[in-house]
Amino acid sequence: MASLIIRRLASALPVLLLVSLISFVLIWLVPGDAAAELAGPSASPEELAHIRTDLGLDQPVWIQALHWYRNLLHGDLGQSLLLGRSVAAAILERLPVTLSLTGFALVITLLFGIGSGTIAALKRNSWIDQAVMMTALVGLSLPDFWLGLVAIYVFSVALGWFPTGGFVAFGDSPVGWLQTTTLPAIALALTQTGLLARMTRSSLLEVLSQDYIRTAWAKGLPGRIVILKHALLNIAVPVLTVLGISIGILFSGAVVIESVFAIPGVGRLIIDAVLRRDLPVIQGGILIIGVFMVTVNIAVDLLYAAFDPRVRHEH
Amino acid sequence: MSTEDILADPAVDAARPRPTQGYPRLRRLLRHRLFMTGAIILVIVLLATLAADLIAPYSPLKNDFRYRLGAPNAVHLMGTDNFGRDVLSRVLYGGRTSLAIGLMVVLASTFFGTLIGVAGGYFSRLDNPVMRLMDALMAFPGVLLAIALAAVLGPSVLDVVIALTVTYAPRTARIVRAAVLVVRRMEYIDAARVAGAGHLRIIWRHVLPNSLGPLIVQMTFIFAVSILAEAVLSFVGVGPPPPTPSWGNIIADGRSYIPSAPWISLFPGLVIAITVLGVNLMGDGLRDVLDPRLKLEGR
Amino acid sequence: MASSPVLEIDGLTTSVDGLKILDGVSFSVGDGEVVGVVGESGSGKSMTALSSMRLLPNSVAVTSGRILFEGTDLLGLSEAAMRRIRGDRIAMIFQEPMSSLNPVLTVGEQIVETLTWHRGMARAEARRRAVELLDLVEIPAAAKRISDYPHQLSGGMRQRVMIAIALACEPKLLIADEPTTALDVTVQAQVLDLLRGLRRELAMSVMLITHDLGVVAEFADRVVVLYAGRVAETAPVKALFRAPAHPYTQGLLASIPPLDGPLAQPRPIPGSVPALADMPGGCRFHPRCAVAIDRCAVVQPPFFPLDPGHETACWLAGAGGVP
Repeated sequence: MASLIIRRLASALPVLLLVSLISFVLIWLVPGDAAAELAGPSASPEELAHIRTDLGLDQPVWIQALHWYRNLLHGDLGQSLLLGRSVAAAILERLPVTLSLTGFALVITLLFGIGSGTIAALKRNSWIDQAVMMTALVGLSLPDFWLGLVAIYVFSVALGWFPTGGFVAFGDSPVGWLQTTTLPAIALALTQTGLLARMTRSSLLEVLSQDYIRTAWAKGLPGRIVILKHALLNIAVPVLTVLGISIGILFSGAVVIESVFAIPGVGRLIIDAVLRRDLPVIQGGILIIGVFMVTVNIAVDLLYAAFDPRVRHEH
Repeated sequence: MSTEDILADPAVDAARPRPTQGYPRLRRLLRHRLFMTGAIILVIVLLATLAADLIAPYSPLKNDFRYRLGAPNAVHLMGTDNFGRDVLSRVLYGGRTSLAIGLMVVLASTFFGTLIGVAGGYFSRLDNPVMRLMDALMAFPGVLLAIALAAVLGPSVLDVVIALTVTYAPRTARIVRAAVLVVRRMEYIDAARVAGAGHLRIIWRHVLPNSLGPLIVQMTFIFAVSILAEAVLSFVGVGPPPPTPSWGNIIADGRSYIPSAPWISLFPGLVIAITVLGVNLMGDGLRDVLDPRLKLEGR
Repeated sequence: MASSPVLEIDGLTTSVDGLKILDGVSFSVGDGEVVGVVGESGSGKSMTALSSMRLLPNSVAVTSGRILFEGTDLLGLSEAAMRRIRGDRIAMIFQEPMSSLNPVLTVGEQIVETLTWHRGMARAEARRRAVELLDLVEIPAAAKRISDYPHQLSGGMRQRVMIAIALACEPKLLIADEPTTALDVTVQAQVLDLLRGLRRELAMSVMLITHDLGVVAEFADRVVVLYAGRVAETAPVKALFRAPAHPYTQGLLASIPPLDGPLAQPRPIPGSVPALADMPGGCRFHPRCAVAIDRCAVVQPPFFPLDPGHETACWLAGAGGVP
């Protein structure tokens, strides 16, 4: 297991290097003179020069890259052009908000995705199965931010059950947190729930036709043990694969949902930076989320090994 | 013995996919209820947007402040927006932008993805570096990378297409590479190589036709996510610029009026959902018919 | 037969979409007896086994007949009552040792759960018992192997684990569906020896499903020959090999090369088992039978007793002229 972890971490290194390189390269993609483009048409020559020095655009490319990586090693993502503070600090401050929202959405996804997918597989070809699969497909087809807008209209404006936006930290008031995160979390989770339900159903159908499930029945075990222990443990690998993808989609969905519900998370920070072309914040935000996703993928691979002894013993 | 002779050998011939295989599959596809439902939905949406000039009741750009924020009624079926523009007309014309972006992203990411995937899968020396780069691009959650790219490149239809292509082409590349690797191990490729067929010929005649099933399924997937992603990009302000309507920027326009005029955002979102549902139905149908490995129906 | 049978299958008929798979199958398994059920694939052997466990796929329905286990009709039991019998009083081992064990559970856990469920044993006690069972099926270093996962064991070892699971609750009846078919020849012999020793030790009855007459000759006391969902012949094993009465049985015997005596070319039976959808009338074997007479194509033959415990469904046997 230890060697597996080491090998997996080693294989992630080149990807991490490339992920940071892609974040760095973003600045070259700004068409024309990046400083002029970022400063806007009304900028004075002094301001332009200032931005140029700030971003290191007056240096040769390789020096810029060297600076970028050296700063990264020190946990320095540069200075925001507009916030007047370090990008790393701004992101770290808002990360818990985004994590609590996506975490909530992930729990909803897991519960309803695996639950409804399992029921659909067990009641295969029944009306329940068809209803679950149709709902899952419709869920997959909805734009999540639009769903958030509809939810605000129905549950906040028309019914008045939830606030129309804002955020209360769980530590400050669990009830307030629940009130402010429930709608965005559901809007986020719906598409991923559909994805997971479909994967759970098809994997479970395959597992249920396996010989070892017949063995479990032949032992006289009750249905709940056959399903919950013998069958569900065996769909861990495909389910984890989908979960790894889903976490990424939940995260990028949160970026947009946060602006819909006026939640002050990393997403809102990035979107504000996008609108105001605050390049260091965009670069830093992308990098942090990219690194986070690489970590998630490592975790998923290690979880494969935890669930499946065949992966664990592979050398 | 020429390549043609070897490939005409019955044993080789038996292993080779024949063009006639497509016809029974086509028949199965046409009998596939969900696929046909999806296809009909998509055709209706496509025709409606193409015929916008004929069927749209108003100009999508004409302001009429007498009817600002008007609720849906017999004259304005989907109501009017904050400039008094007819939402139905904007949705019809906006579909052109959204669907065109979707289509361009499908074509571009399929082209580049296939190129990269074939290069990686067929030429083993290129495989590692190219695929690591694809892994890195795929490490970013799709829509987020597209937002960042579009933010940097600037808001225009072309920039949105570029941003989404960079985001989704790696996924296509990975699928094509996997298919190529499978095909490459098959014996008829050896037969063709022994017979002296060149790389390009082998790729064109043997490798690509065999990657076609997963590739087509992937194309429907990219079409669906591109339509959704265009909406997201427009919503956060890096999509096709106003006043040209797109489904995404109509929703964005209506956002501030959710409490008083929810129809502005509601209808374009519904149309997106219906269109994407149609595409997803087609994708499921195609998967059933073209890609038996993905069919996990058990016994 | 001295005592009452452990299992008595009586007129068992099953069908899929209205097509009969088993048609009035009747035979019994006596106390401590090993009954071999033989036939080509498609003859209904496995179907008979699965029916006795009530593990038929949903698409298959039992349309008539009884399956009496120690006097109780299993077909009339509730699912919950059947579950208490399954794996406890009647156990089953399957053909595919490579895929019949759950890949993500240790072999110990797969034995333990049967004991805790049926016997209400505490886990520690069940674990001790599991080691004993692995010992019983002659797995070396049982105490260590118990924490192994199936993929760490060879095919033969896995089949031994399957046997250990089946024997965990000391069942009255063991149903073994082609238990050695998927194994290497040498391993086959070992596993068969093991089964033979165990059934004597534990005084079990065994229903042995196989297509391999060699296995039957070595292990079974009595043989039931199935053809196309019907019993063709029932006989004590010696009588069957000495004087097979049904032309189908004779064909089966002729199709294996004799081990003693002069080497003769094996003669396979021409043709194959007919498909469910077009079963011939009369005796189902008549289209492949070299000695069929007119009546065979029209009227289904009843059972004709030949010797005690030996009967066959063949008109020629009934006419006294054993062909």
